[in-house]
Amino acid sequence: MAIRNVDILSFISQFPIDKIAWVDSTTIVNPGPTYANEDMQRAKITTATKTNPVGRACFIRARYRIDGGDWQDMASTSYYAFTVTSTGTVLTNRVSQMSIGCDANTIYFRTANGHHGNASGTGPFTYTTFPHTFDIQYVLYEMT
Amino acid sequence: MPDLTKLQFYSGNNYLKRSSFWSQTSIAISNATTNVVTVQHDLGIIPQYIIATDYLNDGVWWACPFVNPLRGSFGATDGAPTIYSAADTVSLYIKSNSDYLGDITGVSRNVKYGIYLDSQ
Repeated sequence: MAIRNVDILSFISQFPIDKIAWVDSTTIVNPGPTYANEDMQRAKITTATKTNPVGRACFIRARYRIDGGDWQDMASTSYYAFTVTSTGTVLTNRVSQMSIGCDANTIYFRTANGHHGNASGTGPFTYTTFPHTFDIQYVLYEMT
Repeated sequence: MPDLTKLQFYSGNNYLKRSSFWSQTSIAISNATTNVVTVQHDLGIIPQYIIATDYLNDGVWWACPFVNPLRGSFGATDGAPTIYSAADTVSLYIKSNSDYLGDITGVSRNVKYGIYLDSQ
């Protein structure tokens, strides 16, 4: 028998399934590191917040990309290597990493950008910083 | 003719089904030690799961590792410990590792977790 009135359709699951409470996105510009000397492997942290319209803490799934590139898992971290030109020492730092969390009222974002060019000088060291734009898409799920 | 725009659910998708393993635990943070909290599920599959950690003990639940200025650093500004997780066919393992700076012996963090009946 064909269903003629979809308004009466209901869904019954044997098990509870995730209920999506909120879907949104945000864009954050992280200007990159501005540290000197021994902090060449330190990342610039930017923080941002948005109102949590759900009114309850939630589980979150998210993904992010930088500068319009490929989408990455929310827990992924990308790295690069730079050279301290005076000694030839090769060190690493982060290009990007992010965190997302929430409580009942607010959604919190943190981004890390440690991306810069080779470090010149013998101390203080100087380098060119590379800013990155983080696009973050996220979904909030009911915790219970 | 039915108005199909009213359909909000399509059963052809595989929806994640929540198991009864849906709770909160606490994990210790110890200096130079990896601590493990084991949640035994015995599902026989490597399940999908989700966790959230109150990294700063302030009621904010973070979905993924907390971004620190220095990787793994606890003592740095805005620092937090590193907590991560893995699952096999028997258990979910929630771990805190010792890759940090500073003396933080004797503290713990709350972790909410949920294990699904669907395999990874």
